[in-house]
Amino acid sequence: MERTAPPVFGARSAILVLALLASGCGSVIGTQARAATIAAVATHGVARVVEQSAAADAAAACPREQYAPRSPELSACLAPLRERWAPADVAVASTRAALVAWTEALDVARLAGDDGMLWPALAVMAARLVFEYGRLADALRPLGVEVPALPDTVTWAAHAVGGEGP
Amino acid sequence: MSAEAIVQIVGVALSQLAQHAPAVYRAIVGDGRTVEQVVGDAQRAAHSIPVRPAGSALDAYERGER
Repeated sequence: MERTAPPVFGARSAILVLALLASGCGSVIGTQARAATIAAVATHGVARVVEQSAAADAAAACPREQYAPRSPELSACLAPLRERWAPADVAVASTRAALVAWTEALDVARLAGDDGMLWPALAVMAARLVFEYGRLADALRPLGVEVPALPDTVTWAAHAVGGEGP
Repeated sequence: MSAEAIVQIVGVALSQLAQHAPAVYRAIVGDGRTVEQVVGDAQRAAHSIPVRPAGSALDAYERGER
């Protein structure tokens, strides 16, 4: 019986082929910007889950039936939750900062004329984002929030022109 | 390998990618937007990420807003 490769293998192969084509077509900035957009959408989704999970945590630990809004008792009840969720906010902020820096660098490269001189720097920025996204996943795992892996097109952006992780 | 064969392979890869991962397909192949537009979209998407989602949620809960 002949074995058929699963669809994901075809998609990954296609990504590699297209990545090679894209890198040779001088559209590195556009390709990286699209990858950054995908990473931003993924990070935004994670931030929404963090927001909802923290709110659910508060509702479970400090129910409205027992704690009035703006009361000192509610503030005291929420204090340990603030401490518990603080690392999540730090990780989201770091990932956001890496994304903002990457997209600002892409804009500078675009304005500079896309001559290839800035491509290694762009790959380093992309690698920084991949690194921070990994730290975000590590920070959220103990809180019960699973972070989906970044798509290949984002991780490829970090390695396409020689970028390495920080 | 002939040029026709390469074109055929790339075509199959493109169609598979478009079918199984349309977002990735658009990210790599593009959708007719200029580089300026794509970079602008990426900047807006990055800036739209909330800075402290958990803290904001807990603040809102403390104020009785959620």
